[in-house]
Amino acid sequence: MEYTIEGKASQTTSELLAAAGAEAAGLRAVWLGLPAARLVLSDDFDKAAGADVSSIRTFGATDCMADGLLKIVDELRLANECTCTFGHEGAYQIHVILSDICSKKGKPGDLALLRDIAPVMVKQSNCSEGRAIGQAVIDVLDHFSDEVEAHITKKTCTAGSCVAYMTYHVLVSKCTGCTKCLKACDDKAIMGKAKFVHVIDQRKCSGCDRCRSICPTHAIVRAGAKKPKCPPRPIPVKRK
Amino acid sequence: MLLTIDGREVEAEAGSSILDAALAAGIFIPHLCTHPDLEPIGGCGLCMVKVEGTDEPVRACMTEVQEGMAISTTDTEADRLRRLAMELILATHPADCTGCPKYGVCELQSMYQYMGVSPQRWRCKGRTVPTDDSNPLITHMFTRCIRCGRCVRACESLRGVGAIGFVRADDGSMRVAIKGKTLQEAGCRFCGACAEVCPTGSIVDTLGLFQDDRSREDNIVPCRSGCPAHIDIPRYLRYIKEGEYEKATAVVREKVPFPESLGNICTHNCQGECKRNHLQEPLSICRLKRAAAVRDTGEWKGRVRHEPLTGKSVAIVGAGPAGLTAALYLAEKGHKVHVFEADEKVGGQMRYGIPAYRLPDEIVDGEVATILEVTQKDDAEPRIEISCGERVMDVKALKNDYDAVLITSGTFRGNVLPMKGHDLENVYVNTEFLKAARKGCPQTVEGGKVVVFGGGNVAYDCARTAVRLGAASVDVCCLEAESAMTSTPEEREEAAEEGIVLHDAYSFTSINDNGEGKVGSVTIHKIERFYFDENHRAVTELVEGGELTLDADYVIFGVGQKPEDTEGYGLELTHGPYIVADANHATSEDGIFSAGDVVTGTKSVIAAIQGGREAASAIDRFLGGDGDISEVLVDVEPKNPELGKADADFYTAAVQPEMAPGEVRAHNFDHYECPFTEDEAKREASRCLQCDLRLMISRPRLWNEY
Repeated sequence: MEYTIEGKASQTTSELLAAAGAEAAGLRAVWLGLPAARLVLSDDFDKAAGADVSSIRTFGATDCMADGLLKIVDELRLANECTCTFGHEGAYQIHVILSDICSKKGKPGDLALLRDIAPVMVKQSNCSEGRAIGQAVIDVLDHFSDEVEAHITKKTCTAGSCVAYMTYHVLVSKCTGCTKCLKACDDKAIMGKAKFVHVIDQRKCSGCDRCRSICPTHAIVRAGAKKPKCPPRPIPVKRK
Repeated sequence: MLLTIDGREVEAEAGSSILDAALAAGIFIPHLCTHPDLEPIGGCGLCMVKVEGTDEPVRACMTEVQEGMAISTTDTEADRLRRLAMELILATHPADCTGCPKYGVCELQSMYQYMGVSPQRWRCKGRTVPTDDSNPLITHMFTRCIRCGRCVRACESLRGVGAIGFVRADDGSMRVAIKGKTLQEAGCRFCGACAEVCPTGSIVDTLGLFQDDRSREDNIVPCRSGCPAHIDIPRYLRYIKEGEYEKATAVVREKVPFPESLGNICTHNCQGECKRNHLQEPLSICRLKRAAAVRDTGEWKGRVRHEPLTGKSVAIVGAGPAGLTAALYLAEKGHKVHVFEADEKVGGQMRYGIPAYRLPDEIVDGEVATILEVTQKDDAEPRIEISCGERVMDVKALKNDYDAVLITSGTFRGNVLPMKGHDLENVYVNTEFLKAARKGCPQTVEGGKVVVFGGGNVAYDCARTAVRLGAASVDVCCLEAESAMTSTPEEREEAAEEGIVLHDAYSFTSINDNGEGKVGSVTIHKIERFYFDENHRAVTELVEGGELTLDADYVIFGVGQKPEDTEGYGLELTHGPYIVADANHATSEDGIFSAGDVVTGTKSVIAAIQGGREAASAIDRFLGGDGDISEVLVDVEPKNPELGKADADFYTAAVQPEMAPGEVRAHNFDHYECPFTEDEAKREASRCLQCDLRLMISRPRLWNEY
């Protein structure tokens, strides 16, 4: 979640959260926006911000760090009118790389590229936005590189918030076995027949979302970290 | 102050940047966003260097030199950052260099080749922006923009215009764009500074605007290069804009001694070259020259070259624009000049070819008098002697009495086509017809129907003279279609206002006898087209049934003219009666030179003047001088490069001077066009794009030039 605030340097992260009306419990980290521009881990919530803060972005257990970082980068990038190569082009590359990572298109060398460019942006950007973007990347990679890397190496978003990594499931309680989803699936990833609860084969599903939007009983859901329990094979629909 | 760069001791001015100090010392550091004439911004990140005693590399363009500073351009970290910056720039730049008009002269291309950098490890994708060629003169291919901001800074800080700026593109990145739908809407002055400073092919002069066979300077200031005498046109137009007519005339005078005559009758090739042809209308350069000349006070006269007498003498045959121009410069170089003129008065075609309603005698007389005045200066004796009414037939004999001879006798023999009826009574020829009218004893056309053959300005001079002599009707017939006629469009327009009828694209069939050995009618035939075959013979394709017979009492041939008397000179000739002269205007006979129409064929007064200048310089060298006839008649003042945003007035068509209406001017030989008023002149001169300001912009050297 993101909040716009007028935070003072003397305020602690906890105080900033309270001022914003945000729940501190369960947060993993908080990004303090410009001019402070740094990531604060939950252990340090009681320390002073050290610089004024114009906005905060909270990271709970289900907020993906890669996706959150992308949002921080994009917000700074779109506010930035500086065209210095490190700030402008560096931010652009980070934007594209993080977008790729969050949409299952990340490449093995991407983290190294991020680690290469980010410190240069901090030291050499002419603009505060460029420096902040570099700092955000460094902070996230310093503490959450495993989570970011899992997108590439394990093809999972552990926080479960990156849509591209979500899986589709048919809820036994709602499915009427109407076969509409089955016919709509181009991947032929849905198993079943009339009056049988349909089951999605995760190996074949490409996540196009067509089945979910077509289902008349809203029996198909998208799941991140927590997956609903589903039968491995189609079973007859329970009569009501 | 002293500092060391890569261990080399370098002297640098206090306050200069490390980059400037290094480049001045011949040490190359890559850079792109820096331009010698623009404030550095430290944007591109290519000029990273390490200063001893500091932690991080710094931008050389943004760091001032300090006494004793030790700088490394080869530091590992500085090099890494430099390469990283180049990788990032290249990652979004189109990869296809060969399709770019800047290929081979692109600073980005030069720089990445020097650095040997490839962006492959990054996400490489061009930022597509459609090419915008909807604006005059300048084409935008912003897909090649590297955001260095040089164009924006040049437009804002050098010119004070601000027609372009950074905007956010759809993908969130910044790029340069016009601040408006069109450059005109953005208040652009079309000075070309943006294209000049653009290091890539992002902002370029519209393809086809520059010609490969011309120098960069000639392409940038086409009016000046288009003028045969290379008058510094933008410079004098600026003076006219400021109302400084003496200075403006002095600038013209530095190249030609007939500013006012030219201001009336010049063929103004400059206007054809003017870049404003692509933007409303060209500047009325010719009329502006006149506007300045009529207000001249002669302040420049004190600065005219007046070298001591050399004891040498030159004879000039023919007192037309070429001969009189040569006389002026030869006299300035200290030679005595004797001009022989076959006619009773001086001026050549300016007096006897061009009708008085375009160029009155007083103007020619005044400008010739000025030539005599400035060349004599404080001498007891005039340096130029003019003998009118003396036709020289034996030019070689002049060598006995003079150290050199210049023949500028022009083309005073009109062509008569060998068509049926050409020998009838009342068939006239251009040169004689115009000269007779000018001498006050015109050939009769009064009350008669006149047909003029020919489509050039001389044909129109004949037609309009005939109108003024009281012809009942005047028809002009020519072979060319109107679009291909050599007369100027204004000439034809004004002639039409005077009642002259044009029959374009007609071949001339015959002049028909009225039964008494006189002209009765002419027969002409509409043609589809005409061309010259492999034997250089004219071929006409007739339109079937396109024959037309016009009643006529008089016919005037206005189909060209050629030199008189030259066959008897004993000099090598070409194409019949034309004198052969080399690039130094030397003829086949040592010591005899020739220039003007007699060499080049009928051209223009301005071309003849330039011929006269070149001949004077060549003859001076022949006589042992240095040949330098250049003059500075007004101090060269710094130009103000700041143009300011253009207002709507800037984008208007040319100012038109007051002119006697057609029905009035058709009845007399009065000079019918008024010079621009001061206000008109200022408004018109303000339309100048000042293309020459662009030449003041420094050209960054590429690495291979260090």
